[in-house]
Amino acid sequence: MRFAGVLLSLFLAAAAQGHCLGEAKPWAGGFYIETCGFSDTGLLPAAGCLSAGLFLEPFAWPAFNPAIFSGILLPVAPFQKEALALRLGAELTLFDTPAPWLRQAFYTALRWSPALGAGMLYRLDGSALRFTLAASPLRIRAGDAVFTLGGFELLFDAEGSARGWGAVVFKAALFLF
Amino acid sequence: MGRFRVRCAGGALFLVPVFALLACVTVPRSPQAGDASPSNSPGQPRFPGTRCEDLADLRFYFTGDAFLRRAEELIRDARDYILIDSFLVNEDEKGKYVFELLRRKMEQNVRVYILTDASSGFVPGRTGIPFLVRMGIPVTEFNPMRGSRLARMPLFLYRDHRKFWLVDGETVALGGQNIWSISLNPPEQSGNTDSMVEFRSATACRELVGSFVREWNAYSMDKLRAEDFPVPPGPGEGGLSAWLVHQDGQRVVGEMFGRLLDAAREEVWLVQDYLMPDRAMIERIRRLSASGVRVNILFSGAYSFLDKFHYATGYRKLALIRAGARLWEYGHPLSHLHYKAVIVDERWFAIGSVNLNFRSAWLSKELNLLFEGREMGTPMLENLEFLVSHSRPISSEQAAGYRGGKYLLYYLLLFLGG
Repeated sequence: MRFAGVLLSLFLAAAAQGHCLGEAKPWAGGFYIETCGFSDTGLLPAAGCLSAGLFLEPFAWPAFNPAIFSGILLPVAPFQKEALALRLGAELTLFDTPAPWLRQAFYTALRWSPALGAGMLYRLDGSALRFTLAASPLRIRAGDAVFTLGGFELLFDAEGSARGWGAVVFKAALFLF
Repeated sequence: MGRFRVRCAGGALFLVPVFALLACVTVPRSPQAGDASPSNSPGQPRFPGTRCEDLADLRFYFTGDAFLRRAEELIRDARDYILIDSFLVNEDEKGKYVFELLRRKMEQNVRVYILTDASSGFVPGRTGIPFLVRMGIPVTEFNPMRGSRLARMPLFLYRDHRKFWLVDGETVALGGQNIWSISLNPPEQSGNTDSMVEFRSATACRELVGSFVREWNAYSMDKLRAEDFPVPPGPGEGGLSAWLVHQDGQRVVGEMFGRLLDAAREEVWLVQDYLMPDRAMIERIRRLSASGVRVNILFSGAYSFLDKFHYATGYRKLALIRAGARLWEYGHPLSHLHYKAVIVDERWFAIGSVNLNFRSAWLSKELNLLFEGREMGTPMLENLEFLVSHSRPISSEQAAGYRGGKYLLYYLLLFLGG
């Protein structure tokens, strides 16, 4: 727990010192907020969860662009603060490709940017640890943000046995620095 | 112990918005040592920004219709590219007219790119961004304010307030005029009384191309390269005392005002309708007045849709008078005085997008031209004479009437958000 707090504080302190909003080029990171849920009662109760944290995407590669993230996950509907969990992992953007079909709905030039990921969920009371594999097929990248709709996750325990699944309803990763 | 852990984690979660707010206030930064122009002459104030010794062909436009006519020429004569950064773009009569000119120019293989602030969506009328997209003109929005970015809320305060045109890497026009009818209409048709200054300077062009491309690439997925926008050598012979005071990640606006006021020996004119001074500024004016410097501040008398600024700026007018400043109110019945200038001793001149308030100093990208020389500044002096001849003094009694609750409320609101 203290490690998680220290880690998050360090990330946040780094963000606070950054040249945010376009002063550093290309963007290197920011923070994310996501709504998600899990079907694994050994990890979390059945609830809508909110996760928030920081991410780093140090490169701006057009394909296989890696990013890492770390944050906190909390069941909020219903609210259950005792189930607070640490969430961290890595994400690999497979490619960025122009999405002119999105131009019909949004005037920003967006790109389709699907990703695969792997990570970890750790209950801060020490009661559960899960490893995750994730796919985000419907992921849209704007200049200053990456939005994910309907991502999927598979959950595994420390022995590698499948324990359940999760779904990301919406994730907004907003670049800050 | 478990509860303690949960509390710690909750505290860490709480830190997210706190640090996000801190991140906000870290922008813009103070200049690093050595950032100020190194080539000031002995005895000259050490102004912040980029020294543009190669500046030449200075021209001024003091009404919207005057600049619109010049903009038509600039578009018509462009050969390679036009980069425009406009705080506001609007889909109204004059906005659509300018956009149509630009679209036609693009058909002649001239590249056109427009950067604009997201504030266009929060002023009267329709933002011009969807219209530009429909016309096929490349446009990008700085720091979008949308529901999808809601988590970035504190940072919504940070805006790109600059207005500049850059044509073929040779000509720069900067000032206070946006691309919409309120800026580009003549004053008789309720257009703002506002200014643009045009000049040629390779130094300024290089800086603005770099800044434009960086900002564009931060918010658009259609990336640009600065090297694709060549800047030919400037026409000036060098030696001019002119600076591009460009607040783009570094805090230079407050320093510019400080250095200008410190240089004053006889008379200061602040044409600053959005002036919302803090105590330090009022104290500085008090010291200047006590030392015999005449401090004049010219406000607008008409506000169109911006009457909130009448209240916000009114609240401190009595304090300014008591500090020794002479306040004036421009008397045009229709035209809002949006012109932002500083004239010191008829020797130092600053013109551009910068307001003398907290927002410009801390929460906006800004762009001014500052120069020395009565001859170069003669058009600004003549224009000032015209403005003052159509202005009336603001008396202590009048200013005392601006101390009501509504004035205080708008002062507090617009101190950050104005």
